[in-house]
Amino acid sequence: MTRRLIATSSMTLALSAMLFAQDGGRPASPSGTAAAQVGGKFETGPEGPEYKGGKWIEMTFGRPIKRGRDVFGGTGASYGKVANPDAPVWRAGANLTSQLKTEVPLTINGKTVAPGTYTIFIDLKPNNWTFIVSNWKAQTRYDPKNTAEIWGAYGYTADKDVVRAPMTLSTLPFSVEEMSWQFTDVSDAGGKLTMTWDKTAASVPFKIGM
Amino acid sequence: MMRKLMVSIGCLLAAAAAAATILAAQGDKPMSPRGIAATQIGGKWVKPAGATDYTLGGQTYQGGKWIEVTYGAPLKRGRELWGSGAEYGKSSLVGAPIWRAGADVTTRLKTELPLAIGGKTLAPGEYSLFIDLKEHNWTLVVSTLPFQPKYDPKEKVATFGAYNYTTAKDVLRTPMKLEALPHSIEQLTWEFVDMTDAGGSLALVWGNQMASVAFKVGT
Repeated sequence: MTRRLIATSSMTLALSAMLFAQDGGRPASPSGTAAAQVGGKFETGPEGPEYKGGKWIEMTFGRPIKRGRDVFGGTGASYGKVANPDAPVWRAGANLTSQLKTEVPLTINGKTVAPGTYTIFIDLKPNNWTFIVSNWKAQTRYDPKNTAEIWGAYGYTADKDVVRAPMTLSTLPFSVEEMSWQFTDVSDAGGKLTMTWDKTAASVPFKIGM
Repeated sequence: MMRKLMVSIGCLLAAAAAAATILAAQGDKPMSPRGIAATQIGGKWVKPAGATDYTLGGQTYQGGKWIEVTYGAPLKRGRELWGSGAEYGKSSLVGAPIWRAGADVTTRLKTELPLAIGGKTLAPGEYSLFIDLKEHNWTLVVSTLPFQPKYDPKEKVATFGAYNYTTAKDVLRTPMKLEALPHSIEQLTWEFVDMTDAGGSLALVWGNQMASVAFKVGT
């Protein structure tokens, strides 16, 4: 009975994960994570140096693939519509809502983001991107009847914003096929969260601590 | 009762296997999380009749073929990654004859298309990837050596990471292009860059450096 239940729940999970799948079973936008760990120390262990006592900062997101499209193209009102066709802001990923989970307090644009889990969005305007950290809770699978939590950025409102911060946009000398979040220039004092897709890198600095 | 016992044994086995996989773990989180890079090419954006889709114009990408790299993604954690001189790359090898180009597990390439790399053809299938690290001179190695998904210290043939690697099953070796990045990437990442339906580059980014190899689709 338990076994059957487990089998059934895994199938349900698999099915919901494949919601936007095509070409037989594989999600068109695979899921991704980015992680950094700060504040620890390397200690001598039996098999070499071991990093101990660090705290994790993690991003989880869906990774859309460029597939020949001009993903941040368009001008005027059509700007950003390939990445974000119809939601109030961009989910900065694909399918599920992008999330930031931090074990340490972060300071972003002068505001403190306490340890916890947050949803992440980007407001896309030509040459003017805004990074949004929100207290909106994310659905784990798409449920249009669930209005207390959101899927992607559908139903996003600004009232649960924790902080908004301008992003620094730069052009990469190559085109990244699969959208990704990266922790860049990380030290124990802080670093940057950087989105890369196509030739665009968009980053926001953070400091560790309040 | 019997079933309960079997389930318990199963759980124990699974736990033991997981423990072996997260060899370098701390708490219950692996020190080097798993990563996947994926690209899909050769398909077409089409608007299926009556179907809804959430991309612009209701289009879906159909008929594409996948190319994928799976790997362990180590973190920089403030370390100098490569060193120099005789010590160059040593800290990444951890005693292996070649670099696993990742962490823990053997890095794997899976392609649904034939790929031409460095003048040789990779037939559709699965391969292991390694990098021979020399200062200013990296070589991508594609191999058909068997690999272990979980570490077994008694296994003497199949690779775990780059342990047990030999050149016996090399399919190709090709120099990688090394270039500086405008920022330092904390977590090792394999990426597909400059992709078109004709090909692109397979790149590894970590720290301030990108190492890439161009490939073409087809034989």
